[in-house]
Amino acid sequence: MVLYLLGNLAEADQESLEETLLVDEEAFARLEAVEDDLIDAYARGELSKTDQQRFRQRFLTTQGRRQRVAFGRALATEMSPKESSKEESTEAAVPRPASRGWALRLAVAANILLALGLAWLAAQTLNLKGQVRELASQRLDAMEGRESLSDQAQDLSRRLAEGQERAVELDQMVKTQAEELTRKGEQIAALQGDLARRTSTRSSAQPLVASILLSIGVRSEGGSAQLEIPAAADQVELQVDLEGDDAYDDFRVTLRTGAGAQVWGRKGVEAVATEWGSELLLKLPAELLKPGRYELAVEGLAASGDVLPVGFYGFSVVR
Amino acid sequence: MPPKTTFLDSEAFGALLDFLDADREAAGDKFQSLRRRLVKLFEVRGARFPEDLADETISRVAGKVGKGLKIEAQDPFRYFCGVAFLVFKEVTRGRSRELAAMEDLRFHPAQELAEADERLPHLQRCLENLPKDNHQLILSYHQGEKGERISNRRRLADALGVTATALRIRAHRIRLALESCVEQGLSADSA
Repeated sequence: MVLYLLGNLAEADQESLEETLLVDEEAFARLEAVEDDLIDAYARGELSKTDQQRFRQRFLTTQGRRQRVAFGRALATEMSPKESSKEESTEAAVPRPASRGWALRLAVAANILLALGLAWLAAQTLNLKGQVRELASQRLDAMEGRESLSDQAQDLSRRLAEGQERAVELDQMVKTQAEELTRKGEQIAALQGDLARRTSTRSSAQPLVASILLSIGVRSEGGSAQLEIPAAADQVELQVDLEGDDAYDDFRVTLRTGAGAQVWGRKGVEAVATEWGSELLLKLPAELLKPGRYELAVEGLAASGDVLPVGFYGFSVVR
Repeated sequence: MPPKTTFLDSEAFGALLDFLDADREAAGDKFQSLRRRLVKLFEVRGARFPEDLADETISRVAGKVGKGLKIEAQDPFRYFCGVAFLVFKEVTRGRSRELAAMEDLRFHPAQELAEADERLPHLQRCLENLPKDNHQLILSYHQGEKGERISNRRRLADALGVTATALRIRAHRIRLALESCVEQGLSADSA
């Protein structure tokens, strides 16, 4: 449905889906919900660059949709972490059970947040230093000027004061971010410990499996995910996040090389519910995958018998 | 915009309602639902005036039904789909005019942010005015970063004893009410 909303479906597939949407009320309701999520993902900057561009070109085509996006942005602002901390009681009503998938993803997310946070702090510090230097330099220039010296000095003093106020604000933000990063660091340490324990308890009798999570983040990006297959690995596990496109009886998956040669395929694959929605769990012999680029095509079999594309997931294999 | 406008008289409209359902109330509901879906379909296809095209589609079918044409489609809505494709194809022939009309909708980052900012105080007011259970649901539904949000929703659905789809539909309806409230607030500001 995301592909449909972004205008990524072939004409025949689009017409087929539109017929379904007209006759199936629940499918239409699901489309509206997926549209909400798409707007939110755009408003929160969660879409890939390609999808973001497509969203602007193909989605923002009416005034009504622009209004909905503006609403989505306002909602994202309202639901930003600063605001959500006020809603501890609501959050507390939704407990967070630990799970392998959740733990790994949180670790990855926390790592990314940590890196982004540090980069942001560094950029802000450099920016602030630059502003102060620039202001000082401008003030010196103004002092040496002969005309409007007084006015310029007043203006620069005001700007300097503003810069100092901004510095205080940034200092406060830095402290807040540092606290957050410390907290995330502790979470990462705990999760890494947990992961190490899980890894060490894996029975030596079990086959060695190389695993990769394929999600919408890498869909349509040409495949930024990388699967490292150890030499001793027997199997490869592809975990495909369906991102809500799970309303099909079953799925057909086809794995091709970057050159388009089919490597592996399965019909009648069923989605499994997870903490994250639903996903496909695919296992195939590791020996099938040589180093290089691959694309996994996922199609859904609708109740009407139509086969509709769900998404393309790219990744690279290294050994 | 549609290439021509088909006039829908009350007789044709009555025939259309009879075609949709023998019960007038049920037919009215089906009509509203059908129009909403057609608008969405034209919107997704990039039509600048999706409401106009939906109305044109409905008018054409109503005209045929009003003249006594027997529609053999398995599902009446499927027939509308076929007519909608025709209407859209006619529109795309005059696409250059449409594209010219869309110029003012091009992406302007500053404008996007400004439009969001002016909605924020209205959104806060509208959220406060929601019934308590809806207020809590919509906050929980949108809370967290991407992955955490999905996880939250799964647990929220479990806690409420509903399916994920039912939760999404419920959240969508609350969101529509909020959007409407915000737009009304903006209109009142500019009045």
